[in-house]
Amino acid sequence: MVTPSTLYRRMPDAQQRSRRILVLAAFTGFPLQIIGYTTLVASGLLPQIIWAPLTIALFSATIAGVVGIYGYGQGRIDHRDRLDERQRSTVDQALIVSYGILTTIIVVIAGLLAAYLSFVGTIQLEMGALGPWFIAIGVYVPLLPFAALAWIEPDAPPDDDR
Amino acid sequence: MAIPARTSDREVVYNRIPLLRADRGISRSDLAEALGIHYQTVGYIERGEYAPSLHLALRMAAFFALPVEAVFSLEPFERLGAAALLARRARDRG
Repeated sequence: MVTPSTLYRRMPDAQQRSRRILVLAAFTGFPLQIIGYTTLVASGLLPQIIWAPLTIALFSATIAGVVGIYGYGQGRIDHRDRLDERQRSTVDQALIVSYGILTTIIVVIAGLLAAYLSFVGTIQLEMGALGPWFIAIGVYVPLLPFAALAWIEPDAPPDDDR
Repeated sequence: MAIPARTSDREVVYNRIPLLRADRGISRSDLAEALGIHYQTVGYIERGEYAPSLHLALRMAAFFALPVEAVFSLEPFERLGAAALLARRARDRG
């Protein structure tokens, strides 16, 4: 059985395909859970008894993805002095990619907000609606460099005995 | 065997590290340990997915006691065919 602890330990040797699946799981699980709840359950289209196992599955996917991604980047993003030049170069590339993604998201959201406020009307902010955004920012922004590293690094060549 | 390392579409660096390792009976881990780098980095360089810095390239060449141009090249290395092997054997004997 794969526990978060064993997943964390195995991740440094994970293949790129597995890493990318975990990145997708981490970044889609929680948003799908929130979108599904607000569109299906809160509106009464889907009973909570059916939604509950889906919530557990999506939340588990998010947890597995986050643990796996942190497991892959452990000791690499935050300990540059222990890395060789190729590893440092890959980490730099991951940081560039993650800052690019973050900047793009901020610009897109600001643009959409500006367009909405200009052409549609005002937005009433409530703490209940902002909660998921705070959680998403708190979880995903620190995770971005690790996720970019797990996504971009090619599979390591196998070692040889001689 | 010559393997190209592409740092971009135009920058291609070929290397003879797998051949030199096989010739000297050195594993990737041995080479990596001697150079103070991760063993996977040796693999990435050999496979042509990472072009080392000049500093690391010089250290690799020094490890094999060869000039850097014998280990890395901007042009593909000539393949070691039967003629080259026979010439080398004759040179070793004579």
